[in-house]
Amino acid sequence: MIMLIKSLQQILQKLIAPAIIPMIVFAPPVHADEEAIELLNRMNYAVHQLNYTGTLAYLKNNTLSSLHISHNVVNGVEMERVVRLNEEGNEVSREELQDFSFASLPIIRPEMKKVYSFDMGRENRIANIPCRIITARPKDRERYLQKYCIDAVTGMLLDYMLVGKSHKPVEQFMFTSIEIQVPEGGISPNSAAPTADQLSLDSGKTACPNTNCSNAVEPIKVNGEVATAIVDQALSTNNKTTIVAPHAVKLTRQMLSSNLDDGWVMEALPVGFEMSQAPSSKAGMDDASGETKHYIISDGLSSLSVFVSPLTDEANFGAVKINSGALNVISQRKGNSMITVVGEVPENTLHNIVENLRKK
Amino acid sequence: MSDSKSKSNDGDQPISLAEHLSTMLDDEAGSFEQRRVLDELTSSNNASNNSGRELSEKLSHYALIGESMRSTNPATVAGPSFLASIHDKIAEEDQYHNVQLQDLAANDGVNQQSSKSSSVLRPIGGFALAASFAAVAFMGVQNYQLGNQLAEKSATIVAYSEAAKNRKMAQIGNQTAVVGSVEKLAPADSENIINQNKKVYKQANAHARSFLKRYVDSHVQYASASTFVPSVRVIAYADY
Repeated sequence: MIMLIKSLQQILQKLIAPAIIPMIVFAPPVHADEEAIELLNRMNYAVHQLNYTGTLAYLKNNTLSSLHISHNVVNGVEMERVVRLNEEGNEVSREELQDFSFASLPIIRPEMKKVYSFDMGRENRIANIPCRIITARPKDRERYLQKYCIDAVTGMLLDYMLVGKSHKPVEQFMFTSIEIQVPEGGISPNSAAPTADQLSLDSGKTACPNTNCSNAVEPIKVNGEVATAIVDQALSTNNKTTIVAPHAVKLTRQMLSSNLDDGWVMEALPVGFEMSQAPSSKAGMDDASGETKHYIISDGLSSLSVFVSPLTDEANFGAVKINSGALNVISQRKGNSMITVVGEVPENTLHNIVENLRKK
Repeated sequence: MSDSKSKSNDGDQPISLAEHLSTMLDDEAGSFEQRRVLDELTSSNNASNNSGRELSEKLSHYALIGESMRSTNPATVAGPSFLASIHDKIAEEDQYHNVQLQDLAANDGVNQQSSKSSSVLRPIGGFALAASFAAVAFMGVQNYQLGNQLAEKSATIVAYSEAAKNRKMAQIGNQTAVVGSVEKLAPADSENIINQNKKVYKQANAHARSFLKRYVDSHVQYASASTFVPSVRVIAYADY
């Protein structure tokens, strides 16, 4: 009898194991990407709502800078101040202070999963605060890999890295010390992640994603005009304390066709990218120069700008390129126009964009 | 094409494919013989085709001998320095950041089953990568040595064998260096054509940088509405 049971067990093992093992091996982690997206969106919300003061190290082109940032929400209005603490070892003067903002963190939308996989990584510790690593891994070579380390309690971003195709960071910043103050009423770790609509300010909706916000910080309601005023105020400020509103600078117009102004056509865009148009500006210093058209191409995490400007003597310097960390710039003449593409994407992506931009 | 012997035109004396190959390299073979040799070489990847493999080995030897006789420089044989250069190249391969590696390890921990499979695949993949690289590097050296004359014939081989284009790198590693290098010509040529079509950009000078700065400003102002990093970069773009 025992022998019979043993043989039955062996048969079952032989039959069932081959069926179960592949299921276990190839089973995708359950909702790992949703958790990652939720944490990223919580981060988006937290960096606007939290008060924090800290020092961060910023690495670019093998150059390390140190910045001090303070962010406060006063009566629902965000105020930020950033001071560069070093420049080749020397402390910079007050006149050299630069503006800095976390205000433009992306909102992760479901369609981004077509071009990125969002992975929940291990726990890490930055500035002596435990944080969770989230990776936005591109599914092609048109964009950089982005890695975040987010404090799971407050949602604060503590470490950020852009990784190039050689698997080396092209840019990175990391808080070395930070004090985070959760506003009165707090931010629930389980608060729902804000959606794009909830955070969209163009339509005049509130920036607060849920009703709990009314207990914490009164969110600012911004429509287009107010946003413009805020931007103007931010740009004109002299004391380098910048008032910013989330997405206040999002004054662009979504484009539904590939037809651009002045007979230009964008024949193809990399997968996942959408195009919008920013306000035009003067191409040159003199008033006689024509307008420069500014088109923005973004997949939500990576973006680039295409500038089409009339060819002027000042701008006629041939085909040139600039690389600065993750930022690439290429500029070349096409017909009687100067095409300049600027973006935090690999240089090859910029080349493809220029190639696909044609005059009808 | 399984037999490696054929009858000569005068009918009595069988001439081996190796002899045809020799005459071809001396530019004395007729078009029929050339085609036959090339067919045999291109089918040398077939496991059952021993004669083809022998023939491609002979071609490799002839090419090396010929090159060493023609060249004033000593023939390059895979010696310690060559291998050292391969090792150097492998050492220059992408280095993963510690955080990335730890992250990968952590991800593996989440799904232990997949880590099992990956732990098996990783060394195989690593070996395959190194082997492929070594094979390609060796082929590159051989290809360089063969010179233009063989390259022209090589192009003919490519034309005769569409299937050969799809061979895997690992399979190429098992072939003789010469035939392998021949097959590398097609993608290399196509890359050259692509590069020729690509616009050549020079590094921007101070004037261009100053002019383009306004575009970076505008990009930071508007495009940063949907991304994060530019707001950091606004501090640093003046450095570029």
